[in-house]
Amino acid sequence: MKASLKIFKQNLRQYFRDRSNLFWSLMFPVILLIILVLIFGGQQDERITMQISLVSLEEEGESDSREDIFAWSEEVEEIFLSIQAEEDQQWLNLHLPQENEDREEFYEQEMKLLAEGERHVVLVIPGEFNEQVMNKIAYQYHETGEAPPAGRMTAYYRPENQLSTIAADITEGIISEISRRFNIFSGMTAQEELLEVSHQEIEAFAEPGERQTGFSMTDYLVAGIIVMTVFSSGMEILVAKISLRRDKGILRRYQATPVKISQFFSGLFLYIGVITVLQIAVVYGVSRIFFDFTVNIFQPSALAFIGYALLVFLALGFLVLSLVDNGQAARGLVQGLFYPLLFLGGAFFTVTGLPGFLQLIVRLNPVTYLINGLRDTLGIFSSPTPAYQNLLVPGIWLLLALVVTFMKFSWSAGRKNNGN
Amino acid sequence: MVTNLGKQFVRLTKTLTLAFFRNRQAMFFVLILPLIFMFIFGFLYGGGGERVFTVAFYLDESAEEGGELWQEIINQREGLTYQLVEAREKGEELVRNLEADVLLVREGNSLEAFYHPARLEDNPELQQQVEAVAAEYDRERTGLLDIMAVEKAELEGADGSVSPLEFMFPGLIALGLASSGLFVFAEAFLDYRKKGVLKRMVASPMSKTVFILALMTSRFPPALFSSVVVLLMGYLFFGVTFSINWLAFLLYLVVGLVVMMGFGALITLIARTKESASQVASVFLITMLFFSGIYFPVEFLPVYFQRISVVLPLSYLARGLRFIMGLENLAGSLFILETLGLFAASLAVIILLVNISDWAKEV
Amino acid sequence: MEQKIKKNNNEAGENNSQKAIEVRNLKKHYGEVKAVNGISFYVKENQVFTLLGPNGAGKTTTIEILEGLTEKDGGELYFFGERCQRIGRRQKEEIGVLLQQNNFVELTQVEELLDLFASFYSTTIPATEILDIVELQDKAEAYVEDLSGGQQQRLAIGLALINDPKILFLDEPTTGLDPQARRNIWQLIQNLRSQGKTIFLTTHYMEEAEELSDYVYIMDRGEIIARGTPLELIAKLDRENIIVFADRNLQGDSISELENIFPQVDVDDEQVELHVKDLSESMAKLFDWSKKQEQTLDELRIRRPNLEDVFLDLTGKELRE
Repeated sequence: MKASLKIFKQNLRQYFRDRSNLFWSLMFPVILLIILVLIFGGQQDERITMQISLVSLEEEGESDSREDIFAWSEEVEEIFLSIQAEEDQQWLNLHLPQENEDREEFYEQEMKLLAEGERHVVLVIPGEFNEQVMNKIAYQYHETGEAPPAGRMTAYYRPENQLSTIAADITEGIISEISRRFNIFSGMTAQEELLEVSHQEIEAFAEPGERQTGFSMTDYLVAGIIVMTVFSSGMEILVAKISLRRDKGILRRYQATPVKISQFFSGLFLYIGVITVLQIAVVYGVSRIFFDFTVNIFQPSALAFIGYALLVFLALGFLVLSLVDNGQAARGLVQGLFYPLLFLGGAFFTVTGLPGFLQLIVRLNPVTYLINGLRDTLGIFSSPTPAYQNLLVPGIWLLLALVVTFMKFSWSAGRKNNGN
Repeated sequence: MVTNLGKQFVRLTKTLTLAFFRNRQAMFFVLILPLIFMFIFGFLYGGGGERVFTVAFYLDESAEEGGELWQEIINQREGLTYQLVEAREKGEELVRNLEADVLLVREGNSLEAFYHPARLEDNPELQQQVEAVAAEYDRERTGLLDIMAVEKAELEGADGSVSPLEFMFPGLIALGLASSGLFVFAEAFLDYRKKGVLKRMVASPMSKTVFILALMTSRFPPALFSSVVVLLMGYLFFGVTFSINWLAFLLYLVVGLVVMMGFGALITLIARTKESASQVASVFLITMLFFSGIYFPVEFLPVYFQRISVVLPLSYLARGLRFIMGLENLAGSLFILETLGLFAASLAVIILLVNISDWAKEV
Repeated sequence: MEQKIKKNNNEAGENNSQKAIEVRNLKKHYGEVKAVNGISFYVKENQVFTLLGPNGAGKTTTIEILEGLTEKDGGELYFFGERCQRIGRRQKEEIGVLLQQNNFVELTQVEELLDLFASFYSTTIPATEILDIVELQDKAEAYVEDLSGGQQQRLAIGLALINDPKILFLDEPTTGLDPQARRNIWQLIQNLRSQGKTIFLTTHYMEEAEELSDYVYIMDRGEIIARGTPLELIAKLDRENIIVFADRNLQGDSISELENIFPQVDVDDEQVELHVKDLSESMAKLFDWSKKQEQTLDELRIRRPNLEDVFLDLTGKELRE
């Protein structure tokens, strides 16, 4: 007992003594949290501004003969301007040509800016637009001959840029809405006949629990970060500490005295447990203070689940150590798997729409279930996977790891020294 | 004397390159990790084919029409597929469990759309689809007249239009460069010093400059290999191709590596010891991953966020690579200036670090 | 090449040409601590010269100045007759170095490492020959981290020989090795000496100094406290023999009686040492004492004085802490 406490204290002292290591190991989850919350947390639309240019080109030919046609293009401009003028909106930044500016030149310039990434959409209203619209409306009343096409305008966008794609969709929506308004205004349709569309979020849980404060992306992410820190303590630290000692032959020496080995491990586990708690506490503290994290992680079920997760990761650490003799390779394997398993486990975003074999990895990945389970237990979001699976699948991994460890774990390092 | 330096350089480069290739841990990071990310995000970006969203549809009795109309409208749309549910709660559950992507409830004269709150990447697109579906319905049911319409036209890139998937690759390559380059001075150099390897070498007439050049050169083959593998795999699995100016690409890889090494050297100048320097470098590496455009489109980042990306070398490299790989247009002069500036600054930091470090001190 | 010409230019028998290394009043301090406090010595060519002293004596600092790894703070330094401010690249061509810790580039094969170091020098010995000299012929393709401690040390010496240096600096060459490995290294050093090399050695092992050295400088706390050949130093002790027997419940008055008879008595928990000049006379007195005191003389043996005794005599401390 005393010996394990000594080992525990020794590890802990080492940890705290190395100031910079201490700082970064505690700070890193926080930094990640900050980044993720900044990307996802809060209202997205507030911060995005779309640069949309609008230019209506002169029509070829005589301009005076067109005076009698209603300037629909100007109407469109007016509507866009009024959207921009709306007090509480910030998403639209409209670019129009100056009074006396040559339309063609403006068009060229804006297209160039679009290519360079300074614009999201360039909406071009061709010269014949007004006439086209007139004809379309006229057809509705007279219905002679073939139906003419609707007034066509072109929205240029960059498909590789998501904002640009969205801006193009929004533009399409606005134009569609103008069309619709006209229909209502001119009495062709009644407002009531049209669909009223609303967009909302589903509830996080089928049965609303006691705390129904609404979904928070921050909460969603913090749960992922907590699992990440448990992953890192449980697996990375374990594999690092043991593989380093194994490489140096220290572990082999422990093996000669069976009592010592268990003390070494219990001291180590105690150390890992304390570090995990410390890291989670820091993440919790920061998210509570700065990010309005509303979840209470001190519920017994949540703490138990986190403890369970730690056990699973410790076992997986031993699995790696049993299968991989070489210390460097073992550490490399764990580090290399760390982010992919977290990403594919849904720690940083929701994982859907993956093809077969990747989806299979997601389903086999114990991290997936641990994250789902924690989010469910903390009342953040209902688990996409059934509760029993959240315990069972990591549990299977745990058992598998233990079995393999008993069979294959070697106390000495991979590369053998040969003779004197 | 010069031939001797040449021989030193060749042997040092060979030794250091071999040592790096034989280091399984390092190789995993440089080679395998970018590939893993490519697969994950590649498929997420719809690289494996067009993404089809499942629409769970609940039709209330108060709605006048039947489900067939909706089925037709929804299935007609590219990227949507229709699935009728008998109860609203069932639909909600499907969305919650990620088995359906959106729930539509048709009741009275309203169409309510319900989304999964955490799916911030997909929801905007889904929303647009829902609006379009509703508009189509209006058109069918009420004979709504389209007096005007918008034709969306993709702006052509250097070789045809660019997909978001293609956009990811420069970031991946930049990530590989960062994995190779960042740890040269933040870890390898310090490790060699701590272990006394440098001390042993300066007890000989070996030239320090040659050593540093060899160390830097040794990282180039793995970085090049990593980039080529990523591009090859991208082509094999996702069919992406790029019109690359290979000479510029190779040169830029060299520059990119040096810039990353310079950043690592900067970290070392500030962090001093091997343990903290390599930790800080790791933190930066992961942070840069999030800013690289691989994980999340850069333009979605809030403005002050984009300001942070200004101080991260990976952002510049990713952008430069996008330019060279024909995905983005940059003002040529700005690009060259930026690149040269970064390169010069990086070299300066490296030279500073190498000269103020006591090679014989095993710390 | 240059050195040889220089040597011929000097008058035959002139001391300078025979001195491989000379330092006068060498000084090095770290802050307040005077690691090397004004020492002077010279190393003759084709000689094994040893700096003997406990840890912290300043041996490593001294040798590192001579290897060009540290700068001296004061004093004069002569390399094969040429005065220099520091050991630079030119001088490094002529020296071979074995540092205290093993410091090989990881994940490298033995032969690769030898070839690497060969590229640092203008003249080199082929790797296969080096492997023969240090008896690592079958390890050419082994990875350096797979070698045993003794093998690694031999490899390190091999690296030090790659440029066929005129002078070899060996800093604690056998520390941490088992007796067999140690004896192998000693043999190697003696071979190298007979090949005409000059060897500068630091150690805290008394037997090593005695066994190998032509000349020994004893160093303690930055200063030279004794110099001479091993025999000279021991002779200065002016005691010929040391009688040793086991200490089994020696009573206080027996000890004082012993001290009355013999001038120098060392008693510790395990044994009693009597430092004497005339052996037969002393043995007679001892038997006398043992009979009178009724003390048995278990494990009785006689040993010669060694450098450890010299050091103890000079400083009151032991060489090994």
